Amino acid sequence: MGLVQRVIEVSGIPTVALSMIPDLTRALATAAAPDTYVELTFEWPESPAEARNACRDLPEPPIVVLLKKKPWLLERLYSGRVPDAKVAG
Amino acid sequence: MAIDLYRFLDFASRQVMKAWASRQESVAVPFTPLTKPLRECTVALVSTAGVACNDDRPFDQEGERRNPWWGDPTFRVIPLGTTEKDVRLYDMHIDPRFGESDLDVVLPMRRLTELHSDGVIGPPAARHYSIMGYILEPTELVEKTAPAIAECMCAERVDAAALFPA
Repeated sequence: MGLVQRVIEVSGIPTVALSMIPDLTRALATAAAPDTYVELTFEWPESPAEARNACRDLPEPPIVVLLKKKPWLLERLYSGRVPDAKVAG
Repeated sequence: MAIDLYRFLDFASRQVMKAWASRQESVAVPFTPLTKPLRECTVALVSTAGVACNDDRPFDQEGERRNPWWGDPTFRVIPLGTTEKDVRLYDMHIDPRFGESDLDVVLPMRRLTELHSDGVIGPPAARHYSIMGYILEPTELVEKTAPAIAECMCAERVDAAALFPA
């Protein structure tokens, strides 16, 4: 998201990145410099563990399936060496 | 201010993302201040939930299944007024059920319209945008997709954009 945000900002359009629309205006109006953080009053209702467990019944993303089959590829993901599309998988 | 950007991630994802973040070069952050009051600004939204209208080309989930290192780097336009009945969410790294039952969870166009009605912002843009959140190799995203979105926004005289990581 940040990579896209950077390009939009460079094109002359001010941006904010956030997840709760009521806070949009305060964040936009308050940010007076790059890399500004605006502390908002919103508190996520679930704990991180509850949030993660809430989607346990969904299919796992393909990269997770792959890494479970070939765990040695985790090092590659960790190091950022993304395989070429033609040889991946 | 101490901010834990990784709070909701599992241990493995947290370690991978921290490693990726640590390798990022420190460069100047572009910053464009607002040039007029927010109540006069046309605002557009960008979501990373992989939202596509039912009558538009779906994001390529099959390509990602074939090659899990790849994510569809294209974007879709979501017209203002589109509802959850008109779309599907294609990002396979999020729970799509919330956004598909209430589109405002990932692309809050109704909230934007309410803010305009309340006089807080100017008119919502006619067109909003969605990309996929999972793209490990971002060259096409940065060099083609993002500039294309910015170009669309400029053409529509968008004054500010709000980005919603899914």
